[in-house]
Amino acid sequence: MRQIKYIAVIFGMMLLAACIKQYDPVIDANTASKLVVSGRITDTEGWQDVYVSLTSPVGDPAYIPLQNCIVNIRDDKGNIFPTMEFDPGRYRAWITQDNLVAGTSYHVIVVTPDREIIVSAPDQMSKCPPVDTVYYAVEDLPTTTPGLNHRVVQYYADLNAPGDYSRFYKWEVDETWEYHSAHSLEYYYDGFFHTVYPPDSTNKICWITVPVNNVFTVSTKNLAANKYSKYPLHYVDGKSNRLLILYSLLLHQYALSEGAYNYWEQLRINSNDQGGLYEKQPIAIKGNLSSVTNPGKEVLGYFYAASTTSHRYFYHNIPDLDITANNGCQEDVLGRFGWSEFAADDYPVFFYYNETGALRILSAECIDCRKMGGTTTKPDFWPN
Amino acid sequence: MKLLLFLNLLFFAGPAAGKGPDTVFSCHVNRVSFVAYCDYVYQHTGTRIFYKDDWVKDIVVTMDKDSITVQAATTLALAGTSLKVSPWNNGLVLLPGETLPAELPRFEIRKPPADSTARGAKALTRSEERYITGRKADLMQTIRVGRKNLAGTAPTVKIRGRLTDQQTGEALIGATMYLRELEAGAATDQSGFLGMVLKPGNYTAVFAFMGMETKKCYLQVFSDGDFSLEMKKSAIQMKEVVILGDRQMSFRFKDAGLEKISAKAIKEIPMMMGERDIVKVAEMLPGIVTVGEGSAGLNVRGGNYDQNAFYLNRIPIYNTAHLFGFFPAFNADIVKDFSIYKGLIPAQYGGRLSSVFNIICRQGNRKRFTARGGISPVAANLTVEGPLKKDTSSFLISARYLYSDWILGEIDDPVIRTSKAGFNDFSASWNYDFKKSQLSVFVYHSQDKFKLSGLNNYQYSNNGASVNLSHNFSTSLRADFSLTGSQYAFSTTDQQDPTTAYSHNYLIGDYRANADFTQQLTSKNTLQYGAAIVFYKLNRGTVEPYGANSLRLPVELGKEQGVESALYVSDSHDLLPWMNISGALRFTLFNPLGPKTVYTYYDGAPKDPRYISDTLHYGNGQAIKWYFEPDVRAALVMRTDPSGTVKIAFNQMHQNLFVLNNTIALSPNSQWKLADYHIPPARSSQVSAGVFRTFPNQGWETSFELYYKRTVNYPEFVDGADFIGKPQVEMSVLPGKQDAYGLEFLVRRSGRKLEGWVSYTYSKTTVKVNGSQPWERINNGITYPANYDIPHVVNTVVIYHFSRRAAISGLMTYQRGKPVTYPVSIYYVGTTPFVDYSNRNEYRIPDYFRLDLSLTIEGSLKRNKFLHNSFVFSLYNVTGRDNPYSVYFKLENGKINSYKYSVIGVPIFTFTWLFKLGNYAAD
Repeated sequence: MRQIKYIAVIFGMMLLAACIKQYDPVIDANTASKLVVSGRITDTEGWQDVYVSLTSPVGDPAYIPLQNCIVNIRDDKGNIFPTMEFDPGRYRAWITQDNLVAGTSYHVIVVTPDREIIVSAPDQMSKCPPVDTVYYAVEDLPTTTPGLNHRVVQYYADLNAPGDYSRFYKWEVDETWEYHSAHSLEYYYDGFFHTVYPPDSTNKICWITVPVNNVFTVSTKNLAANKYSKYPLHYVDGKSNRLLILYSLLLHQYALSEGAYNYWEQLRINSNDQGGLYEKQPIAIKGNLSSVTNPGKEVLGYFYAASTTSHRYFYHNIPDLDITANNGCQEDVLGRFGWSEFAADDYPVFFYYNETGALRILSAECIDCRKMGGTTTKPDFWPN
Repeated sequence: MKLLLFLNLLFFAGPAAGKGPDTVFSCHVNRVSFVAYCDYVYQHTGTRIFYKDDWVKDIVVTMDKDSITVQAATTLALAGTSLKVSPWNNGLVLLPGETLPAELPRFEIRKPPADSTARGAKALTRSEERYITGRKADLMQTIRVGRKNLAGTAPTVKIRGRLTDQQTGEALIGATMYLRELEAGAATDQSGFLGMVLKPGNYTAVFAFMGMETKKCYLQVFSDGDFSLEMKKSAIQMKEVVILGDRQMSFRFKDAGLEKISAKAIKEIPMMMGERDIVKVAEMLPGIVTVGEGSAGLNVRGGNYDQNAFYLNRIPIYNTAHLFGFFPAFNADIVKDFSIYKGLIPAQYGGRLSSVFNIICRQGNRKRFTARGGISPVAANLTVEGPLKKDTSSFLISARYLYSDWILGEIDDPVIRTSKAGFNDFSASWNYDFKKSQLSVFVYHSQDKFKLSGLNNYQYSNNGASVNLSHNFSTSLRADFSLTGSQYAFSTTDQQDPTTAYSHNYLIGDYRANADFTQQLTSKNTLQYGAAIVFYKLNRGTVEPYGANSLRLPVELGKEQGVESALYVSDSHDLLPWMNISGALRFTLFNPLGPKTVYTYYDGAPKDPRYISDTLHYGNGQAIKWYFEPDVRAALVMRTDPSGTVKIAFNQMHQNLFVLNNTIALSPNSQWKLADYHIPPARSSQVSAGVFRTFPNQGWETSFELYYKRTVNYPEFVDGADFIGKPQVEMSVLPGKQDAYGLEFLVRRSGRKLEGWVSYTYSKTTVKVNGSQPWERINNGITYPANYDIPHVVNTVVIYHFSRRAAISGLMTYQRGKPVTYPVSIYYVGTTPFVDYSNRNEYRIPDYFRLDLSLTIEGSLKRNKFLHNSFVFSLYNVTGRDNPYSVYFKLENGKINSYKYSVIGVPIFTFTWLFKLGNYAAD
């Protein structure tokens, strides 16, 4: 309950007290790993992935794949879609379009290397309407410091699903943005001085795509119409370089069954709506997987079927937003011992002459945008 | 005794010739202080005058007499003050409002006859009485009870006394009468009455009450009869121990697991933002905990917050907190007596499993008009009271108002700046004393509003009224009749999300009639019996779409009504002089009533819309279920020696009303819900044993108690239960078993310069929800610690009185951290990490520690003043420790972050100004 947390914040304010602090509790959990099976059948012909992994300790989070399992996807028409391990712990089967229709139920059977058999409850594919709209608003979010607001671009989505579409949805967002390194490659030193002319700009422009790792679930079950307005998605602030040049957002809309929705909704509550004055117990989330060989054993995760639609949006030049993002470039002066300070391991050392003509050493990020995670390959969907 | 520092007597070693109060002298003084006048008298006549400095501070003497006796001159000098002049030992003594007896005692106290009946038979003549009275070691008032001509007609007689405050005329609750000859006594009830059965005769009675001068009287009992006695505030601290409320109870040896809080303790304990809080004082006592700062509910002996009954002058209060628990819903200025029953609960109470908090308010000064109030940075309060007919009828009106909006407005945060918070409460009482009957009327209102920017509105209010009539049918039979009505309502609007914005109004009405009788059967046997009927009427309201854009479907949560009828009888019997046994039976019948539509579900299937087997319709007033609820309660109290007792008690309770809440603290939009077709009433049984010991000479008292409590059918809510989405609560509730046990230790010192207490509680509370089907389990059916399972609690309260005008107090509290469910592992779905939680409440948040200090400075102690001021400086959380309220985990940008949330993490200083009309001692 976000509102209740605000109340607490207000009292904190009233007393000029700091309320929320990062805190690392000592958790001496010595719990045996649990099996995690997750997967989603979509209505698009292609590879359908099932992931089998193990839980990791809370102090050392890691993705621990479970290899060499036998994983079969089945539908309620008697079809079996055997999978093969494509990446460690990632099993995939190609399912053709005629086997991916709304109304069909799917389940998964996993046999682990220890001969443990895990089965999911069947999940029925629902119908998904086209994405309605995604839009943004520039908002000032309060912070715990009085007088300090956080200006952000908050994205919202609307849902409009008249007719026999599902009443339960999960939204996933992929962000893509273009960013530039500070300089083109012009001068570098690797024991010898090089000048590139004309300056090389091949690594100056990058694009990066990342998923927004939030859970966005929406249900219209208790609503009068199968539509929803102004559902808050993620937000982007001016400190990030996302909005500097061009920002794109791809909204994937998944129509879920009620069971799958409940699962994701509970995950969302556990991941976000904790703490505050009126905090609740975290939910003991039950997935739809169970162990046939060991019925008492808990298996985490959910295997579900979801028809999907998606839509891409582009944004740039957001009004009223100051972008203070730095381009990741660090400049330095040449040290006391000059170029001899650089060993072969440091080569190449990039540098340039600034507007006053002074020599400045540049970090790799200054001339190579890929160092900040992106790629120089322009995505197909990117406008010219 | 150091206290005599106050009593500044003047002694002069001077000429002895011709001295004495009757000495005639010429007195010519012009505008001199009284001290200078005394000096003058002593120099001219050698006569000493004894007085207390404070009394004469403001007296200025001007006199021009040629021939006057010292006594006459002094009397003249003091004309217009309340000081009276008495000759004593060839000098004069000044006393406020009284004179010394002319004759000094020459006689020692008589030995009481072995058999008081024999003594009563030969009644004394009036002159004999006078003779004896005059010769008593102490000057004692004689109280005659009954009619002399009936003396000796009955072997035992029943007497009833009423003790009142001389200053205000108000009844004293818990004041005691102790008869030395019988080594027995009685304490006054809520109307100030005490009753005793004894043989006619003469007794030495000692009347005592906390903060009052202990009064020794001569009690002559002839036949059945009444008496009344006024007690005086102790102007100075007495050498004798001032008997505290609970000590009187231990003196009575009849109440196991009772805690009492005096108005004095409430006054002196440091409080946050200067608001005195009786509930916070209660938390300092053993066995009562809270889950954190700003949480409204209390947990008593391992019970949930909805297991406590709060009565304010018999009005049940459903929400006892202002502003989400930061302030109490009651103005501490009107509280006269605050008792907490947590072990053996008197048979007149039922309906809640854990405890009864009984708050009796002051009735208003019956002697004079007065007012008092207080102003702190966030709130102001005012109480006005006075007689409507002197000594017979009075009124009291009190109001409080919180004006914290200005503070919110000062804060730059846009959400907060546009938020509003406020509360107010009001109470009024009127009473009339018909001598044999007392009639009182009380009304109460409290309201809270909280508006969070444009997003959420919370509003809740308590409203109640009670009419109470007490009547003495005879000296041995007394009855209380009361009618009360109480309503608790809240409304919430949630506009966080325009599509799902909603508003919800909720109302519960509680209307009850009670008749309680107390009958003194014999000197050893007291019978109490009565009947109660409670009618509950709930309108759980409709969750309606709010705003033009809301698409939410209206959900009518439904109306409920139920009737709880109870009969009880309890008997307290002194089996042996050192042993009291009491037993009680309370029989309650609870009927949830129609109109109602009830779904039934298939056997062995979850209670879920998919498994509805039938629909039952109940007409208006038709009983949906008959729940028979017998409660057995018993206690055995043994006095091991004059200052020690051992108590063993067994207590059973039933509860027909619960809070629907799956948050850890009580939230402002928690609905109360009646037991119904599917949800049975809960039952608890508690066994407790305690040892109590007082060390009266040092002012110490100690208690040590053990308890074990088992509760069945207590509703536990399934994970993520939603109480506004559908009317059928049975779909998200499961019957739970609670097991609680603990140990409570208290050592307290009172009536001294340095006083206070240390309490330690060890307690364990576990819950088990393990139905036969997998969906009927919480935490996989494994027993888990309750959210309020706080095993170790140490509370220390220390008050040091530098003088009558200054006291410093400190409060230290330590609690083991409350249980919490932590993540034990992390797993990934795609690239998003999620946490897998431990079993419920397997871990604990860090421990809680807080130190508060306060300094109270009273204005001058002048007797004649219009307004008395007090100033309270308090520092809350001196060490600035940021005690965690909760620890939680959040998924942010693909990472799991952990946070600690503290409600108050810095020291808070407050200054409060309190005032009242009249002087320091005025009430």
